[in-house]
Amino acid sequence: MNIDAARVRRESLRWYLILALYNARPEELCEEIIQGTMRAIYPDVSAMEVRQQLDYLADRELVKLRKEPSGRWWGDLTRIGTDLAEYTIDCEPGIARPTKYWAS
Amino acid sequence: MRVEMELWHLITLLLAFFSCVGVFGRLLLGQFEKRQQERFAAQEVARKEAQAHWDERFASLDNSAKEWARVERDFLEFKAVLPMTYVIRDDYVRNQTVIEAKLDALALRLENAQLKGKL
Repeated sequence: MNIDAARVRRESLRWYLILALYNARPEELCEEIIQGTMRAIYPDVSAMEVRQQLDYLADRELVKLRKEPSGRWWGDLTRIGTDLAEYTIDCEPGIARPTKYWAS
Repeated sequence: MRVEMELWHLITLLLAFFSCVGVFGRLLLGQFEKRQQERFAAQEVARKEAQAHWDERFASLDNSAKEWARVERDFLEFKAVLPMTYVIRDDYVRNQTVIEAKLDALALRLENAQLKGKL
């Protein structure tokens, strides 16, 4: 079975974004910290890549984005995003949320 | 009308006139002196009041400066203790997310190894 590395990376990045925003609750998180956190996990990740995934998550209404006119983005988890991070709801395809391995 | 007087009358009259002038002059000078004394006394009272005011003011400024120095020292101590007590929010978010990402990756590897029958 071939593994689509780009897909794994993209979907993992989305999950890590949700984790970062979950850890930052109840405040929203500014883009610099998000980018720095993602770079700590994927050293070669680009700012555009992170923004694309943030935008995807915003389209799925998991994340609320506040785009400042100066260009800086702020992210905050929505109720659905928090439920997803807390394993309260099922995860639809597109986000590499692992199974709840610590509960079994 | 013709007035005639003896010399000693004239002398007595002049003496009386000058005595009168002298008495009036002395009264006048006495009044001057009294007013001046009152004025000086009032100035002295005002000066003392102003002095007390400025003493109080400088003392309060001095106390204020001491208080500011204390606040500044307390703040510097607080800044010195801060890194030992608190973690910056950015660091917390990054570290926590990285740890969770590593845990997830580890769980995935274990799962894969189990599926391959290596464990």
